[in-house]
Formats: sequence, C-alpha cells, structure tokens
Amino acid sequence: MNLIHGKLVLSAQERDAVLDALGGMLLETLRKEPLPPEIVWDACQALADSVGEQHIPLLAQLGISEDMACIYLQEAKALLQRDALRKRVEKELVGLPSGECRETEGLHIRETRMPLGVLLHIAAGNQYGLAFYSIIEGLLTGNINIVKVPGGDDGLTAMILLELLRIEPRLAEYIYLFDYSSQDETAMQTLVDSADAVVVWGGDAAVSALRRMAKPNTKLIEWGHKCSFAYITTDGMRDELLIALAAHIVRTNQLLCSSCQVIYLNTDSMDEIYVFCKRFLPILEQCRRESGEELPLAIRAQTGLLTYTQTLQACRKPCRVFTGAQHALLACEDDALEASIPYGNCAVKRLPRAKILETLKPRKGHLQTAGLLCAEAERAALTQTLWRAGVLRVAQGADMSQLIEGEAHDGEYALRRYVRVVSAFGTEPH
Amino acid sequence: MNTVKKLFRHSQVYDHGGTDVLFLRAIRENASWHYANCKEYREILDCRGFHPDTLQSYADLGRLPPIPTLYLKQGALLSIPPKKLRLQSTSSGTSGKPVAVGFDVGALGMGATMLWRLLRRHELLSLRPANYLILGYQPAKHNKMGAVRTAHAATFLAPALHREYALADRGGAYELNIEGVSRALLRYSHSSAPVRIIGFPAYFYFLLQKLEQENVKLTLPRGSMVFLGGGWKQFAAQRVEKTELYRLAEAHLGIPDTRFREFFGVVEHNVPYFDCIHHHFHVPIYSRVLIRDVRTMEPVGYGEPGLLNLLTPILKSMPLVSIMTDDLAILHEGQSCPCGNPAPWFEILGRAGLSGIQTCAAGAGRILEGL
Repeated sequence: MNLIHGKLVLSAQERDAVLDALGGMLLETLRKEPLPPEIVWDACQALADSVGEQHIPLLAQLGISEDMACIYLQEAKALLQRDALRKRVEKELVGLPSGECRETEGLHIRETRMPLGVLLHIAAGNQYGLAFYSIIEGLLTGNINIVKVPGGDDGLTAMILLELLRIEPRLAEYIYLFDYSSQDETAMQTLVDSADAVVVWGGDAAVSALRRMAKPNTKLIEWGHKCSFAYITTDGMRDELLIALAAHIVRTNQLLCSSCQVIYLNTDSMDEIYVFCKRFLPILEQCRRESGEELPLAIRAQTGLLTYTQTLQACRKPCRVFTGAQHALLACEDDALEASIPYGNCAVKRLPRAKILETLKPRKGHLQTAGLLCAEAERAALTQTLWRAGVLRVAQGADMSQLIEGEAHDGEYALRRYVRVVSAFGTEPH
Repeated sequence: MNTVKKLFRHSQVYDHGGTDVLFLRAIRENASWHYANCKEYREILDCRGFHPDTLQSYADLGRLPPIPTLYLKQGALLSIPPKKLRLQSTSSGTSGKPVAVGFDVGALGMGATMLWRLLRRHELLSLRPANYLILGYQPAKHNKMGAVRTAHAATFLAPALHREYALADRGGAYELNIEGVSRALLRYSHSSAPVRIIGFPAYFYFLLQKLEQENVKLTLPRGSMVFLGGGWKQFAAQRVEKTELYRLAEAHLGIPDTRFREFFGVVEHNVPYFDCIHHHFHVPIYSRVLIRDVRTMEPVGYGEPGLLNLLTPILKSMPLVSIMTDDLAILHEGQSCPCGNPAPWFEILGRAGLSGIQTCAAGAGRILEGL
C-alpha cells in the first residue's frame, strides 16, 4: 500500500508515476519553511486521544492477539503525548543553536539547526509500529519522510498515518509510503538517491544492503538489532539480586533490546554453571508465579518446542537443558552472546572476567545493556571493562530495561542525528 | 514383503483396528532403517536413550523422539545418498528457512497408491471435465513450493477445461490477476461444466469479500466445489468462522457447504488429510497422530490441546518417521464424529508462537488486499 501526499495509491502504475516525479515533488516541499515541531506534537496528541479500545478489533484483523493489541495501543498513547514529544525535542536537541547570532573576531555568525531534508526510512521486519515511530521522529525534526514499507506490512502503518493526516493535513507533503519490494533494485536505488539520509532499522543483512546502495553523499543512520546480557560475579550471587534479575526476565519476556538474553558467570567451571542453573531456575519459576501472568498456550508451545529442539541439538553441541514448569535454562559450554528463546528461557555461560573484552569485542555495535550483579567494590572497575568491550548501558539487573526519560537510544540521541547545524557569516548582526 | 509396503497395500484406508499392529511394526522397521543409515538421527535417538528395537507395544510409539520441523530447517537429515533423491518439495519458508524434502523411489510408489485410495474414498475424482480457479501461484520452473504442487495436482482430479490462476507467472515474477479471475468466474458461471476452486482459505475469503463488496451474485453450475488447503491457522486471530465463509460462498457463488472439501498437509510429512462431510480430518491408516504436552512433550489424551506430532513410515530417504509440527491441535475419538468414520480426527487450533508471525497464507491476504 502506498501513501502519497495523504492519498492511498493502490495501483502499481500510479505508484511508478509518483516515483518518476518524486524529485520535483520533494523540491516543492523543500522550497518552503521547515515544518515546526509544534504542528507535529499537537497532531500526535490528538491522535493519541483518539486511540482506544475500539481499535483492538482493527489490530486483531491484522493478526495481532488481543493482549498484544492492548499493549501496542497503550505504548502508542504514551509515546504520542505532546509533553513526551516536546521533552524529547528539548532534551535531544539541547545545546544546538536555534538562530542566535554571536560575534567572533569581528564576524557575526548566526547558527541554527535545520532538518537534514529528506529521510528514507527502511523499517525491516515486522515489528509493529516501528515505521510509524520512525516517521514521527523525522517529522519532529522537520524532515520529509519517505518510507519503504517492510515486506511483511499489513497496511497498519498506512492506516495510522491516514488518521494522523486527517487530523493534520499540513503534514501530508512530508510523508511518502512506498510498497516497493527490496528486490526491485531500480526503484530502491531511486528512493535511496532521493534522500539526504537513509534510516535503517533492522538486522545486519538490511544494514549491509543499504550500505551498498547509498552513495558517499548520502548519510546512513543505522539502528541495528541489539543484544543484552547479565554478568554475575561470585559476590553478586545473592538471592535478592537474582530475584531482581529474574523479575526483569519475566517482566520483559526477553523481547526488548535491553532484555537479558545470556547470563554470564565469572567462572571457567561448567560445574558452577550447573549449580547456578539449579539455583536460579526455581527463582525464575517463582517470579513467573508471582507475576500472576499465565503465558498463553501458543507461547508456551513455542518455548516448549524451541527448548525441545535445543535439547536435540544438545546431542551434538554440548549444552545441558534445565527445564522447569514454565521456564528453561540452557547451560552451554560456549561463550557466544546470542538471542535466547524468549519468554523466560536464558542461556547460562562461562565468561571469566579476564576474557570479557576479547569475548564481547567482536560483537561491537550489537551490544546494548549489561545487568551487572557484583559486590559494590567491584562495580566501578567492571563497568569500565564492560564499556570498553562495547556495552552502552550498565545496569544492576532489575533495571536493565528501565527507560530513563531523555536517555540516549543505543548510545545516541535519535533526533540529533536527523538535524544539521548551519551557519551564516556577516559583518553586521543579522 | 516388508511391513511398510504391507501397510500401504491395506485397502481399508481408515481401518486403524486392523492395522495398529502392522503400523507399529512398520514404524519399527522404518525407524531402524534411519537409525542404521542416518548418523545424526542415530545420535539423537542414542542421546534420548531410545532404540527402535524397544518399540514393542502400540503405546511405545509415543516414546519415539519426534523431530521438530524447526530442527529440520537447520539442515536436511538424509538416510540415502543425495543423488538417489527424487522429486524435491519445499515448504513456503515464510516462517523461517524453507525445508526441502526429498522422496525415495519406494515412497513415490506408495504415496501414489495412498493418494489414489484417499481421493477415491473422498469422492474427489471425477471424469466430468471441470473449469478450475486456482487461488494461488501458477506453477513455474522456479517455484518448488509444495503447496503450489498440491494445488496443481488437484487440477487433474477431474479433466481440466481451463485453469485460471490468481497469481499469474510473468516469466519469473508473479502478478495479481484480478481481472482474469473476475472474467473467468463470470465465464464459468455461464458454462455447464462444474467449477473447482482451489487454494488457501485466506485467498478464498478475500475473493468472497470482494464479491460481497461489489454485490456480485453468481450461481456456479451444479457439481461445483471448493477445495481448500493450507489450514486455517491464519484465521486464529482473525476469528473468521468457517460458517461465515460457507455463508458467503452460498450467497455469492451458489456453492453449499456440503461442496467444500478441505485438505491438511505439511511438507515434512507425506500423508495428506482430507476432511469428512463434517469437516473433520480423520487420520488414515498410513499415519498416526499424537498430541504432546507443550512443556513436557509427553503424549496427552483425547480432547487435550498440545503440539501436533505426526508419524508415518513412508520415507526411507529422510528420518521423518515422527515429526513435530508447530501446530497446536486436539485429537478426538472417531466415534465423536457423526460421519461414521471410526478413525480418530484432529482439530487444528492454531500455530505455536505469537500470532504476529507471518504465515504464507497471511501473505496471501497482503497480496490480495488490492482486490
């Protein structure tokens, strides 16, 4: 489904005609004053106000379960609040000039921030709403946003955008949705070439493909997949800390970039790994019982199946599976940081402190949060080591996925990457 | 003659009582073959502490470790040299890497007999020529998807006068053939030959929705039928009741629900399941169905939901003697179905995992959204 200047375009011919004329259309918009963020956050607030339970059946029609639909809608409501968006803009763009004039060595310099111009958003995969949120970030910074709709798109992005444009028609010329397949190289190249920057969300394959397509004068902004883990020393193996980590695993179901996927122990002994699994599994089970959340059958079936498959693979790859009523821990002999089976099934591996840097460094760019369970006396030094290995956030376990307002995303402020600072020199104040 | 062949020669296709012992022996024979000829399979069985010789009673079938289809996505397991493989078929690969299944010569022969018997029993064969509407891909050299082959094969059950495809092959790329489908339906409705509509339920549903939107009401010739395959998994979240589909088909095409036939199959398991007049998938003698607890993987009884485990001794090429699908299902006693077939039947509840995961039929919905 294509969306061009607020109009749904279904036929491929009409879409291709727009692509041919795209350059001219973009120039028309670029001639105008940049879009002020107030228009965007007001429209978002109105959109948030209009979102409610009545939209659950709509999402259900797209194959989203009712529970997940509720979660998505709540998230959307929270993220689209005017105050939240305004604070983000203020926080992320703080310190950047906004038109002030200063004098240096007899020259009057006026500096201000400007949008990059045209952003092409590539939202790979089928993470719901991602393309939409990416567009909002682009709009907040005044950019024109072209979106290559992901292969698995079900029209959700277009539907939300249509509603947004009904609320605020002035945004229409800042949003283009194209449903070209990534295999359509000619069309993809045209899209990439029309953009000042390409924003890629997705795995390594998507990022690599775009790196090949983008010319040197096109900026690439990459938001790749991230992986997080826990690191536990002997002194950190205290019940209250382990309970907090288990609560984090149960609460996030290991679905977030900041969710713990692997638990590393500061040891080189597999026996210690087995002992830990036997101790931690009941804690994890207890946390799930206390959460009162019974996982749906389809999820339990998926984890059961994945765990069973892992057990069969263990026949060839050394790994012992500790299975509980709802969760499983996989005691693996390797030290790779990889995604675990979601919904409370962690891999437990050995990682002696001296080997942290060499083990994690190759995963550079993929590392996000480390939940560090250790004695307070060890914390500062271990944090330094983890930072040096490429970790972006060092938390304490329970708070691994806690979002601190205004905190950087994956080590960077998103909005800051979507603007540039321009300057003008004059002999008089201007 | 070996017991596997004996099983496939048995003429009563739903006679479980008369074949239980034979089936157990055939499974033991087949599992022993794979144990001896596929190193990875032997490792798995050894590691699970299981030996095929210990399959002594019918209840032992549940102890044979099932291989998840998920495991097969990571690489093929073979019990014969690759050059001896015949006719490869692949899954659609929309929920992961496609799985390729290769047949051995013996399996092809037994499979043909099995299919012939099942089609006859379900009265799907006819000498009366028919017009076909295939709501799926046009077969092409570059497409090896099992579902495409099945749909194509189904157009030979009655001599074909014409075949119209919803997704037409345009030399390597597929194009949505909306106009062709509409024209064909109109033309078919004026012909005296019955129409056979074949495809995924999702495709068919979207077609009916379009007919309803445009208020098109056709009466297809008597004897026309709808043949649906690919499961209803994608409707699990959408909650489109089959009754709604039947109502739309009756209203817009003049096809009553008694003229609906459904098919269930997975590429990793070579036994097809055809529904009875009550739309239940009874298990033929060529396979047995176990439902396993989602956590312990132990077999559960009738009426309890769990993962669908399919067993058949047909293949010598690959150790797919007991495979675990990612479908959730319930097994019911044969007597609970009023159709009179005493063989147990199963009901598909949905697929393991989050419903946001794309299936090939959900993909069909996407392609057809322009209809």
